[in-house]
Amino acid sequence: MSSNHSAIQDQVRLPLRVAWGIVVQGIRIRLGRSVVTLLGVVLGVAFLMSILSSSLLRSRVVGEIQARQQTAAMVGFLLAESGNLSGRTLVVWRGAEPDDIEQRFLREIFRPGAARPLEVKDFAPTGADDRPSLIIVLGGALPSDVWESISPHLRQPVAVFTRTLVSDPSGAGVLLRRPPSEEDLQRQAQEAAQQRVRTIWILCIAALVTIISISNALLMSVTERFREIGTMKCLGALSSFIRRVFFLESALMGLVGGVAGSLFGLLFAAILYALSYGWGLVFGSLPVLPLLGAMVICLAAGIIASILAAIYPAGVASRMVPADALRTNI
Amino acid sequence: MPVTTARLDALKIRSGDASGSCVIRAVEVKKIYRMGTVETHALRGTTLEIYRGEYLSIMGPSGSGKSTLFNMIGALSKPSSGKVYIDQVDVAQLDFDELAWFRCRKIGYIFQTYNLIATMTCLENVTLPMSFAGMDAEAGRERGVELLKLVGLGERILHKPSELSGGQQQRVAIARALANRPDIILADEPTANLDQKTGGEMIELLARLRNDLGVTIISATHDLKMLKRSDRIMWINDGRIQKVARPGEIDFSSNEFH
Ligand SMILES: Nc1ncnc2c1ncn2[C@@H]1O[C@H](COP(=O)(O)OP(=O)(O)O)[C@@H](O)[C@H]1O
Ligand SMILES: [Mg+2]
Repeated sequence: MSSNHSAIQDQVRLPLRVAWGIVVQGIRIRLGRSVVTLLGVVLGVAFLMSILSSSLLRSRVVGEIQARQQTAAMVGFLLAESGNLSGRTLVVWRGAEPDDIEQRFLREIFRPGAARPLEVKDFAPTGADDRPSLIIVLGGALPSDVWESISPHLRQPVAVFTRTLVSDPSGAGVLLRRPPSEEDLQRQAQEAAQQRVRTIWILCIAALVTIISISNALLMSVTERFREIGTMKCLGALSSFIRRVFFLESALMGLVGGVAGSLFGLLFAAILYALSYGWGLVFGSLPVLPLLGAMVICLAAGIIASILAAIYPAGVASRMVPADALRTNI
Repeated sequence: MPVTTARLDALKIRSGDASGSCVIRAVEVKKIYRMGTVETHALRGTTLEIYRGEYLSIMGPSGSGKSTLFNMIGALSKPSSGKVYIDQVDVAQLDFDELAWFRCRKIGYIFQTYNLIATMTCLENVTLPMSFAGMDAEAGRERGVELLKLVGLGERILHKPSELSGGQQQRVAIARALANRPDIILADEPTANLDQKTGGEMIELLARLRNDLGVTIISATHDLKMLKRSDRIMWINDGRIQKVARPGEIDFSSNEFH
């Protein structure tokens, strides 16, 4: 050995493969405890995921419910104006492309058995019995020439507006869609902010509990492997190798626990929402991409938490003096 | 810092044992264990030289400091005072990584309790020090099989330690100790947990390895057979070396051995 001075790569190289093998075998052998540790990660991550996916699902569900409520309110205002719709003809003026709410509204009032639509361009004066009831204005503006040519032939000379009342040649138009008041909006924003703070607080506690429980499990693992670690040091393992074994074990836990936890968390939240808002509504409009994003966040959180949790146990293991680990008479 | 032989050569003492015939030298080594207020003087100033290629047995009652001495001369822990030179290198000058390098390549350890990694097969146990030394996996496997054949376990390379008898486990441990062609084998009461016959086989095996491979063997033991096989015997009591003798100079029938 001493005869060869040049370019000697005598450095103790420690293939990751060996550490990986030790980790996998260690987990296999201590499967029971590994599963318990894993459960801690799964629970923590599932909690995070259920909160993240809840807010994603809620935004979908809340939008849907608001849209439904708004549509129903519009239909209600229309009925108050026109009375029973069935068999009626309603003139439709498209001042603008109908938006989502207007489309829902149209589908509702022109569904089979309800009113019949009649576009302004198809309008022709008819006999007294066949006259349309009123005119519905989609979007903002109703040109005065349209109003003047059609209003004499309506049963009720009334224009109902689905969006705004800014251009109303009838002078007594009815607005169906009424926006929420400033006060309502403010209160909602305040509640949302409070909710966010609460959520973050709970998440921090959950993260801490998860990290401590993983750390504890790893410390147990260190104690259990006292002799094994000492033996490996006698065989030439570097401290960095010992650390790597524990970081790898922990990161693996974080990965597996993160995948399982985020799936469980998502499932839990989705089922909860489906039970209260209907399966079709929740599973019909799953925000797939944002949910995938949340899963990535959860995976990263699981792995980061595991690695943080491993710092102390890995340090304890790597600082162990081999002689101490090998004592037979303790 | 990467360990290089150049660095280790630079650390070698230039005075004294220039021939290199002395593979381990301990000078006035003391070891004090402190547990709370209690101090245990496990070694009280031990000076010894161990020669390349010899078979040295260390005798002494339980608690006399044999294992402590092994830990010192095996670079497993640091003396409270005094110096230990392994292959002329002052161990105290080595950092953690260099110590690991040393343990990996210079010394093979054999323990009373075998200390095989329970989760690994025999072959994996034997190849572990080789992967620590950076040996290519394929070459390591080949050498592992060779070593297991050498200790008579060629048929059991894929067994787990729990599937083997004590003697077989100790054979695996011997193969493992030889993995990186160490200069020194340190065996701390290797036959203490084995029956007479198996212990005898283990001693034969060690003696054969010493003859075939020229490796220095240092063994703590109570085993008479081991004493007879060794080149020198060292008695230690209460942390002090009492006497050193060759087997020929000893009366094995005296009271001391019964
Ligand atoms: N890590 C330790 N901490 C405290 N005391 C120890 C430790 N190791 C050994 N000792 C004490 O040092 C003395 C020598 O022990 P040891 O070297 O193990 O003797 P032997 O191997 O000859 O039985 C004993 O009194 C033992 O209790
Ligand atoms: Mg001992």
